[in-house]
Amino acid sequence: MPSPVLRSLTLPARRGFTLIELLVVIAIIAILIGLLLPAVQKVRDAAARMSCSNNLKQIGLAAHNYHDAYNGMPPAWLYEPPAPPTRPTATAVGWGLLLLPYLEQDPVYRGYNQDLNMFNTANQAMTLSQLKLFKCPATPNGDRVVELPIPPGVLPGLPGGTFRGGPSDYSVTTGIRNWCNFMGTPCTPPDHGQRWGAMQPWSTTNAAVAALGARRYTLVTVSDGTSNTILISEVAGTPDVFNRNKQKISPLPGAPAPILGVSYGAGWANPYNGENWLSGSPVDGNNPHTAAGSSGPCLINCSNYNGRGLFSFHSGGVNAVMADGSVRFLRESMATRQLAFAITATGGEIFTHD
Amino acid sequence: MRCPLALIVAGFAVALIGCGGDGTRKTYPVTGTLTIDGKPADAGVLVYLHPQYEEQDRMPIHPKGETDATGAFQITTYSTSDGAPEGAYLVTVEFPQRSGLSPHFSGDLFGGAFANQEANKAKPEFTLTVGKGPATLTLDLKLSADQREAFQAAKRASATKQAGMFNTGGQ
Repeated sequence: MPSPVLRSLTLPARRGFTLIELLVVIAIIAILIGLLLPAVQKVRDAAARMSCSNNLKQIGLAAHNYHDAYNGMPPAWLYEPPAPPTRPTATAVGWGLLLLPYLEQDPVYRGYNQDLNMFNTANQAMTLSQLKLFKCPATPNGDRVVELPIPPGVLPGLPGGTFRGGPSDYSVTTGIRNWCNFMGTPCTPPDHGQRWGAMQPWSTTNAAVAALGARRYTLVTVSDGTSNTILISEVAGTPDVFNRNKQKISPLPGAPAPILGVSYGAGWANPYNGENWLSGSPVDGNNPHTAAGSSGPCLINCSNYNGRGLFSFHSGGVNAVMADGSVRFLRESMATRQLAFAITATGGEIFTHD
Repeated sequence: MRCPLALIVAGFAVALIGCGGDGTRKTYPVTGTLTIDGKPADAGVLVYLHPQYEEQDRMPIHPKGETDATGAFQITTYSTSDGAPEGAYLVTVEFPQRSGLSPHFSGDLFGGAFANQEANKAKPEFTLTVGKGPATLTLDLKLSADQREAFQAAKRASATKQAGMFNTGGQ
């Protein structure tokens, strides 16, 4: 029987892993994890995008249900002049509130007294509701409160006050401003031509309709075709202002005091959320509130400021629901003119979506 | 071994830059000054450049600049003060008036006197050609007596005007 010392000297040593081998294995595992992690992120993004487009689908269906009930597209916002004693001041409500009965949010709808204006405390308790349906999960600043000071007299008979409400990542495409900028046709001041989208402001009072110059489309009078006309699209992240790199840039340089840092298309119950006339933004999405910066060549994902363009936190484009209720993903790479054609309701242009 | 790798990396970089996939044109700085009857223009006057060349870009452009208090302006096409792409332009000038909180303009204080492209085509001072390099545009607006009176009246009116928040555009 040899001694243990002798055996260890004569038998071959038990073979282990060298340091190099271990490092190679660890490196391979690290590479595999590195490959996997972005894929997980992509799946999360895709899930957020689907959930987001599902919200739009619901909204599109609600719009159709509204159309069935009222025989017309839902108003972008609804103005009613004062009619004492039932309606002491003028009122204005956004499209979001009008669609609530068709989105299974009847309690909020019935809790809002449409004879009182949006500054009323009881109404603000309703407008402050954080409705999941109006929020896109891809938006980083999820639960937020929109505060918009409004001076008196912006609408006939409407007093001043502060609108408070829950956010909306979706907004109506009311129409296109600076039509000539996008089309290369001669421009006439001051608005350089405008074209109307499918959802427009409305009132149940004929005199107010005439005063506003309001119009209302039905599924039949959207002559560009309901599948070629955008109804509601993402304008995500409001009231915070984001630029092309999805960086928050509020408070805005050069913005007048009442709207400092507030993109005032925000809030699902805010009538201004239905007042979104697009005029484009600079490609980087910065300097949005100087006269020169208030329009530009970019309409998708450059700025979420009211009236600048469509905006989402998805990579590559935005979701939009068309007037026929279908949801499309509009790519950033689509031609600006094509998008402008898709926003107008009766332009007679041919919209080709690839 | 190291050399081919560097070449591949360099090739990638060139391919990425060469694509220029964002659909923008190369711009050259365009600066200028605007005077009204020889005096520096007010702040907030917009100078528009209308491309006189065929544009089939993904993003049609409409370069513009806004005067500061000395009447100086820098043209913006895609991002602040980046200038304008090479080519011939027709110039129009507007003094937009903003209504209340609305982001949109409700009128031209010049009453459209310098905004008519057809009329400006006949005036050489309203044309600009941008080459491969910085360009300057010096423009003196001449107002007739009537126009000057209307302009002053419009300026006074706009200082006091309380306009609507909503603008449905009318018919």
